[in-house]
Amino acid sequence: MGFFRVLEPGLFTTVQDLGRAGCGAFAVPPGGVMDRISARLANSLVGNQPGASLLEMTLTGSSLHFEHDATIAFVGARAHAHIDGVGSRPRDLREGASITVRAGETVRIGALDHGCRVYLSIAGGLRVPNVLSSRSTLPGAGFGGHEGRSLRAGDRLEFDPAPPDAEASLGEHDWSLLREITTRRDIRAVPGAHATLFDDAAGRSFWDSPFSMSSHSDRVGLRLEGPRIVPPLGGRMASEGMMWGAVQVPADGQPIVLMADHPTTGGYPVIACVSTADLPVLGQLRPRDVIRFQQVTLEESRALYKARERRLESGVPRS
Amino acid sequence: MSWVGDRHLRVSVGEHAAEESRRLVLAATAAVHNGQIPSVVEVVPGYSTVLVTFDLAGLDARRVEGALHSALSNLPERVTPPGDGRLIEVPVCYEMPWSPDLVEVAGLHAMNTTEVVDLHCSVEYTVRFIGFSPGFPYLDGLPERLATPRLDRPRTRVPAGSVAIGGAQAGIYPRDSPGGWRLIGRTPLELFEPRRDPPSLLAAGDRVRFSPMSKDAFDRATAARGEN
Repeated sequence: MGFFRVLEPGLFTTVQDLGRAGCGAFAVPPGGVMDRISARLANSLVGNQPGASLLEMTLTGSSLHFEHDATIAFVGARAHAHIDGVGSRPRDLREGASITVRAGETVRIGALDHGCRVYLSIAGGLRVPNVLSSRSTLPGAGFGGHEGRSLRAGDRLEFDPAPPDAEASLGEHDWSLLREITTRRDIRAVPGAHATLFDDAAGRSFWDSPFSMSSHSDRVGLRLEGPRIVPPLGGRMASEGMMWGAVQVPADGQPIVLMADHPTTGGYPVIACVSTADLPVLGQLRPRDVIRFQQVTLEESRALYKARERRLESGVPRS
Repeated sequence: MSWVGDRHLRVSVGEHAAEESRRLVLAATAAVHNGQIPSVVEVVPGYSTVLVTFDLAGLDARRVEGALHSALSNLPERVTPPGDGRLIEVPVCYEMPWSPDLVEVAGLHAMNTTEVVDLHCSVEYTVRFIGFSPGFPYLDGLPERLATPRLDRPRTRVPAGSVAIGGAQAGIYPRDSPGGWRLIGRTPLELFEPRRDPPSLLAAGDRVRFSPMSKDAFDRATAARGEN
């Protein structure tokens, strides 16, 4: 077993994996990593299963002091990162490649750009308890991950050290996929559960307008700022099941896109539902990024997902 | 029945009175669970809907539509869905400090606090579904005479287990959270414990009855759990 200690946690860092399934009826959302593409790439670089637990860092990364040897990688938003060695000069760390960390070294991941979140994987995965079949953190409910909360300075986490794999790095296919996830601003979506209740003007306004990401966005939902979309029924309806990707329109007319830790039911009318393939894109949006919604059919939306999965599978990290 | 996302299908039971909607939603939920529908990941009931979420990998949309049609077309006329008929007694301490709004609620309805407690405990509530946050029950059945508007300014912290009234709704807060409902008591029961199986104490279809407990009994119950 191995340990690292958190010197600086970064803005909001949590232990996540690919989340939970089948807990919606208890009002537990799926949760897990906000950008499944980057997380899966990070895990593959260190020889982990796609669902291994790792760290999700937001806008600014962590400084972690390793007490034991480890193989790590980080993928997602661009990160300025270096290692402080023991009695040696700091060396820059490259994103998208496996990295050997020696006992006594400190990995420092600084401010992120070209995206919102970066995933740091450790070969073997993080040893935190499995709660409701997942190691994901649900901070709003205070369970899962590391003590049900984001990391703080002084936290000490355990990992299962795995024998170092051959060195691996992302290939061109993976980089191109990653670029798309962090630069796309046309978000594909199908009409939502209550789309037909919105009047024509509201519909046109929604599909034709740019929206800016508010800084009041988080793992629960992205708040968008833009033209006021007038909701039907004063923006209140009887509660029904909600989903990751649902675009709700409350009375103030400013849409909210539900994300990984979403409330499982809600009473705001839903005008659209983002394509599953574009959920990782949403997970990489930064405050003040501007997006537009692009309507697609169900068939097109499912085809996007299939194409994305094929791209992910075709790009195998190579040494 | 319609797709509301590339992997989400919404079943609506239509416009009915509350009790009929409740029965139909429970029956539809059971039908989905028992219908051997491929690729199902989530089944989430609402007031008049059931949301079915699928795994997109390998999803055959036509096939699941067909399977759902079959499952839902055979809903029996009179149904006792699983969970219906399970009565959960929820002991509540209606004394201070756990009932900060009880006196005001009583005053607003020209009752005394004993009458409020008696009325709150006199009826059976039904759980329509668990929603919004882990373990949070949406309860029907609050006597009209107890309907009380929410606080103008929500509290920043409502303790877990608080028994509350929000407009015409009765509720119980599963965990510490901000809240604007009127707090009339507190239960030592844990509505949600992720390590328990099932993690939620209540489920759609359950019936709930509140009963008063003394402050001493409340303190003993929470001490036994190692917290206050």
